[in-house]
Amino acid sequence: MYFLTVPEVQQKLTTLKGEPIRVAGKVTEDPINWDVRNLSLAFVMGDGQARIPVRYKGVKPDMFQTGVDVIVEGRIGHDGVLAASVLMTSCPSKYQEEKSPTL
Amino acid sequence: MHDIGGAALKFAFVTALYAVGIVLLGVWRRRPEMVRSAERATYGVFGLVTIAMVAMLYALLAHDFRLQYVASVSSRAMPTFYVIAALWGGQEGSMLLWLWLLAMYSALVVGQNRYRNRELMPYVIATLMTTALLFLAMLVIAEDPFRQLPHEPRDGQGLNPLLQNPLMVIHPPNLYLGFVGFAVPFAFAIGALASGRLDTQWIRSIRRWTLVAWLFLGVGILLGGQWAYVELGWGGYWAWDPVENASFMPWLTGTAFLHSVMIQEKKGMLKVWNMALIILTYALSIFGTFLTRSGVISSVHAFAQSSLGPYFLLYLGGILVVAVTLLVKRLPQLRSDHRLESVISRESSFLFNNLFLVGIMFAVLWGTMFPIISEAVRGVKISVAAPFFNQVNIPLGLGLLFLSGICPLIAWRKASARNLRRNFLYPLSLSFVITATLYTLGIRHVVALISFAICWFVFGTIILEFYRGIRARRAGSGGTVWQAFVAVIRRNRRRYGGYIVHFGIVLIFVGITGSSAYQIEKNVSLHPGESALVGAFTIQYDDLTRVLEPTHEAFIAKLAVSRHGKYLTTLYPEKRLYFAQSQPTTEVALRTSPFEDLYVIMAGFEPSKAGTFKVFVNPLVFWMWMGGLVLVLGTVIAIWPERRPFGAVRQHTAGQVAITAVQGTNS
Repeated sequence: MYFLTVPEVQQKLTTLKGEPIRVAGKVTEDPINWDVRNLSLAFVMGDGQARIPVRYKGVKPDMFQTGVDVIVEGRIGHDGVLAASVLMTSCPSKYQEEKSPTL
Repeated sequence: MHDIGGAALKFAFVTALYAVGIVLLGVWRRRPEMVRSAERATYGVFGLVTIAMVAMLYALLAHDFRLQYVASVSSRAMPTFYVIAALWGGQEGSMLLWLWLLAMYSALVVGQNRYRNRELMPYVIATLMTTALLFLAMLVIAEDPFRQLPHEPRDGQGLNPLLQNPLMVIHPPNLYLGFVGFAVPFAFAIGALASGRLDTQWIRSIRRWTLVAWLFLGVGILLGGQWAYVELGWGGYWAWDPVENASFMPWLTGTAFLHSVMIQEKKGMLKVWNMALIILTYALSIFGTFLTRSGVISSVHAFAQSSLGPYFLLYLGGILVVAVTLLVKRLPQLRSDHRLESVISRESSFLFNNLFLVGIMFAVLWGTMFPIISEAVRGVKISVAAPFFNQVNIPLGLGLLFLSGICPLIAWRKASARNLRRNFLYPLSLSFVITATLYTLGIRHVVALISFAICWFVFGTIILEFYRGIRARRAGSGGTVWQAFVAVIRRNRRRYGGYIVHFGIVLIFVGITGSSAYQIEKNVSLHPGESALVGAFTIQYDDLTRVLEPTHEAFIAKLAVSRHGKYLTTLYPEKRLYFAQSQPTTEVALRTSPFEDLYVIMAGFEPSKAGTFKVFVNPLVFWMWMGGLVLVLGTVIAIWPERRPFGAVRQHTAGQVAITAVQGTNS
């Protein structure tokens, strides 16, 4: 599975369609759409200027909010949306110094 | 108070530097008083680091938020229990704890060996104090735990709510006790290589140290898994995350070492291999600490992007160069006393056990490092996920489990057909009958069936061994079964402790198999009053209530659980919002039974109180934690000091007695 950053995904968007990928980036300030009923979470992942829309099926992790680092695994569909089956947020590791990230 | 802490660390640095210098000079010039002076300096380092620990603890309890560390990991509202735990809740504090444990171990080793292992001790002290220097250098130069803020904040940021869990309080110290603990056997290996005293004496001296380190590391890994299970709310306990792998790798090679030293003690074989294994285990401990602190690999655990990477790499490179150079130099003296005579023998089954363990370690290492390797070689980062680890490690793990049934029973040198039949006919039959029964009961998952079959086989061999031991004992000295059982264990703690550890491992495999092959996962959205069926459980959503606590507000759902119309229990999954961190947390609701865990989290709710729940049924997880307890019990039995005198002779006699006992039942 390719492990990519958001700019890399944007660059090679056409060749990556349908491939299983793992992408690291940040949750941008674009609106987050959380459908509790269907456990569907839509948000935009970014890194620098690059952006990709993500749709994740599953439970919204506790740490998930604007500005946090996330890693997602899934495939990019024909609509250009990354359909993710795995969404990981940075764990509140004991090793991390708690500097509240402001973006 | 914090001035004292900072000063104590600086003095400790100088003292450790002195210890390393004077002890090497003492060896070179053959001046025993210099070695003695280094020993006193080792006690001194322990004393000074203890002062720094006390100073930090005092600062935390006094809420001295002038210290950046105290302000970042604790707050006034936190319970005292977690304020103390905040000592290892952050980077600098956990390094301080690491160092303190190392200093304590070093002082204990020096005290223990005042009149023993004198040729080795100078090198042991030099190795341990060099390690202490590494951590002291990092704490004094790069990550000063007593760094002050320009202005004292009114309150601290507090420990992350997810870490405020009793399991998370005891998990890191356990892991560190394990990681640090391997420094002692490593130091003795270096001592043996450097001094040329390569007989089995050094191995005897560190047997208990190795077991203690191995036990703490194993318990630390299990506690980490349990914390993830009850706190993180994704229904599992292990994800092959780099952090988990980092702690698992030294445990694997440490396990291999524990087994292969027995071959060296009994047969004088595998000497080079043992040296290599302990060097590898220690290097992996340091590498694990490096992985978790340098940020070289992205993981779900947010690693601090700290400046510590170069320190670790330098040290790691240094110890590897020294250790391998010494090992190569001593190769001619490390020849085996015996050769392998047959593939079907205890020697070779131990060898296979080692190959499997090291094989799993390399697979884990490969998978963990793959993103870095692929980026270096092909320019693209490719990460391998859980499927890779499972694919490779399930067959290896099952093979290993099978060997744990074979190794202790198969004959030395060359097993005869008679020996094989005598030891394995009953366990194999037991395993076959039970597996057939499971199959007819509808268990069709192939890997699960194989795993259960092996579990029952190993269980059978352990039972058989205990049965024979007890029968021989009762034939000799009478008494009840229970008395004989206790006496048998007492007589040969190491051997029967080992069997009990194996039994613990069997239970852990049972838990892993059940929960990975037969996990049920279901999302349900319910309005109050509605119910849903998950597996055999009916879950009825009664109500959602809001509760205001001093540190957080909680939304608590009430779920009545029944099975086949019979009420079982009420579960209360929660969503909490902590004010200080403005962060939601999900509290798992769990009903544990020996058959399965019912595991419920509330994914979210709407203003209408309609709630969405994620429900897992995890079969047999209970046995994993039970296996952990059994493993601790077995290891403690194996470590427990034997009261009989006569030093080294006693192990020999114990072995003889066991052999005679087995022969006794044979005839």
